[in-house]
Amino acid sequence: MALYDLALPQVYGYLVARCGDRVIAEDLTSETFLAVATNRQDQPLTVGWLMGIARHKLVDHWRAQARQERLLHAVEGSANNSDDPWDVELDRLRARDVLSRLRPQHRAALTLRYLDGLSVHEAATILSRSVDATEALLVRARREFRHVYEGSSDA
Amino acid sequence: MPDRRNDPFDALHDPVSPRTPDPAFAAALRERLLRAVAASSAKENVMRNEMTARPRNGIRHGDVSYITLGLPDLARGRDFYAAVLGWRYGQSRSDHGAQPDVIIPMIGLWDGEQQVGGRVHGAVLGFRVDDIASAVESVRSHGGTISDPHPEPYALAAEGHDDQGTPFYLHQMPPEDAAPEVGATFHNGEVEGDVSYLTMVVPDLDAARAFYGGVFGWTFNIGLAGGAQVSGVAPQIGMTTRPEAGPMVSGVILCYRVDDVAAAVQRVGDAGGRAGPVVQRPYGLESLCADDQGTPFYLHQF
Repeated sequence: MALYDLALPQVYGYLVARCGDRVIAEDLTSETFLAVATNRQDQPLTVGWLMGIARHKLVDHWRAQARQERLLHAVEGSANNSDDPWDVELDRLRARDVLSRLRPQHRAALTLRYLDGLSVHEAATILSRSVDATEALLVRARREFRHVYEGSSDA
Repeated sequence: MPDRRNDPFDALHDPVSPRTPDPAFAAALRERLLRAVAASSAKENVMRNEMTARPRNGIRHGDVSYITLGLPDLARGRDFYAAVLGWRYGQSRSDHGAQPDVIIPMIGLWDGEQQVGGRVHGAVLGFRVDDIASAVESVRSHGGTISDPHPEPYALAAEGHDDQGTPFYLHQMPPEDAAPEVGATFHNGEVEGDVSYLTMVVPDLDAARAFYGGVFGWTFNIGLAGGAQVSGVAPQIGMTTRPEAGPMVSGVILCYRVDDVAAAVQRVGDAGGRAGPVVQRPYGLESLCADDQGTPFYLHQF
């Protein structure tokens, strides 16, 4: 339980910063620790390993959200996979607000890739997609982000 | 691919900053975790007990759940007890430990550091408790010192010292699945190699009765010669201030059940130990021995 005391603020801090909702962050924190408690591995537990599980739980949460929203968005964006270069300095506060308004699968891809600083390959593993599919998802995510971001300055 | 160096999205990078959650949530999750660990160790426990239908970790609050027999040299200990008592050892996860199959209660030979007391030569007892959180509180309120409960693969555990400095462990384990038959409480073991009796050597008998009576609910029959018998615990336990084995301030002397004490005494000598004369007691034949590393123990033939 010493690890619990050490890891709890880390895991909770990560989740609450990424999902921005205390109740959901608490749920996901519980799921993270309970997954470890009921499924003990031989490898020693570390904070880093728990953070990896937390990241999976967050993506699972967004994936479930995406399934719900897919009923509303029958068509998922266009098939155009080109990515225009975008020269802009992002306002972080505005960017976080924009991120929260994106579709969950886009929010997940951008969060893993940019907020967590994972490589495309690492993000693909967590998202259970191929690297190519993850690249394509990132292109669409960046496009939606840019669209909402540019729209948000007028609001 | 966009050029990484000019990717405006890189500005989003946000290293994790720890945040302390609501204390009520943290406490509630801690409780859930402890329960979840206890439930999952229940599965392991069933697996580990499949060698025998006998409850090896005690049944009731205060029963002996595990004995750690600290020895200077593990390899010599393995060989000695295998030769004398017929112990056979399962796979051990540690180079410092060996655990004989089947015998009750569960016992481990150990030549490393103990979680309490450092390198102990002799036995340290673990006791089964129904609710480890309240047991830990009780230990503290009776003058002992003890760790907070923590999950181990086999149980929720805590380790500490009684108010006279004797180390011990507490284990909260899942209830035994099979309810023991009436009378099958294994107070004195059942087969050769089982632990038939434990003598706790204590500096102050009254203080020990107050501590163990308070924490485990033990009651005592006061015997002769500065001794007391614990009622209804498994295996049977006695306390004394003046052990027959010679002067020692505190510690635990183990007694083992054998089928033929004369033959067992012979094996003790052959294995490099010392064996005293076989004496007739009200409960059976008994010999006070020492292993080849000088650890005192008794043999009992009932």
